Amino acid sequence: MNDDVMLTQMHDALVEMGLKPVAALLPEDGSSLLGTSAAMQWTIEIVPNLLAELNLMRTSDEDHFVNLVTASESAHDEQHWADIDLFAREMGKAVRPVQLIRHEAELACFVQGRAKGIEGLIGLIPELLTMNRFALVTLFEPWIDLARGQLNLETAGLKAGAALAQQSGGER
Amino acid sequence: MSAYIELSAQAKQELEAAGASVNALELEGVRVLAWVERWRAAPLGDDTLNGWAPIDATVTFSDGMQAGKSVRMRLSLLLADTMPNLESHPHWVAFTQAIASKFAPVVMEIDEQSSRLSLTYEQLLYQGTEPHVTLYCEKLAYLASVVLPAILRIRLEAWTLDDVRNLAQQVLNEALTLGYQQ
Repeated sequence: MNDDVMLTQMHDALVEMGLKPVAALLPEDGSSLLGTSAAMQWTIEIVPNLLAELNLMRTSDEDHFVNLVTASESAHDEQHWADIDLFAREMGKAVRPVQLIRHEAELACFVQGRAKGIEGLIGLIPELLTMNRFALVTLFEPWIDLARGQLNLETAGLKAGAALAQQSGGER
Repeated sequence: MSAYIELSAQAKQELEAAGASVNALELEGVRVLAWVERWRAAPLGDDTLNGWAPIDATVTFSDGMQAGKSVRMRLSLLLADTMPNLESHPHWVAFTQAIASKFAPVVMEIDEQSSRLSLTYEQLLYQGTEPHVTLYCEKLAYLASVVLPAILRIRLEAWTLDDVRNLAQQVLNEALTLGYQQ
């Protein structure tokens, strides 16, 4: 399938899902996508007023993968990094395949899916969204509170545990 | 047939064609394949890695949320012992922080009790997507070939923080060139 057609179909599908996509090429980073050395990215609204990045790339074996990233620059205080990383490592297991990733001051929720063809990629989006939202409502908020020093490791863990208990059997 | 069963059958075939000895287990709603031999002789041939080669590998398939349409694939290499308290060693923390986000969705974990390192690749697959498990295993083996010497140098206290940062940058550059990121 022509790359332009594929990108248009993806964009249209995101519009139909009500995600208000804004498209842009990612800065060249060596990832191969759609015949270029850059990747396609849409900024989408996954819940009202909350934006995420949906990245589309081509794999070396001609499949494609999409990943969905919601991020916040809130870990500026390096004193909290050890606790932030510990929270991500231990609590993050509850939301896999979504991952909690800290890079310097940035905290991110990351989930990835791979598919062959545009139909599969579009079919994966609702699942990636649901998994990402689940992680956001359970772990991301206490994680950010921890980064901002508003919760300590214990209270962040308790808050996350309560949210997981409340949500389990619900949305996910 | 559930999508995860079909995928695991494909994965088993792929691995056996690559010369691996595969054992398959089916747990509740989860299909698990495990193989060892191929990765004991994996591309970790560096002398410094004696005794550090992967000692187990598993791939797990389970239904995603849209049962029948998507599958969760989890591919994990379990590696030999590292060193006590590595998880909190400042050089290890600096090294993993420098590269971890660039290799997502790979997760590097160290079991607190056993000090064993595992590298795990986890993602969703849509129906009709080939598992390509050997390819992902090669990606993990590549990462292992980078991470294990780094651990060795940390263990021997042969590193400064600058060395750590430099190596992390080299790793990222090389991975980019080889196409091993993602």
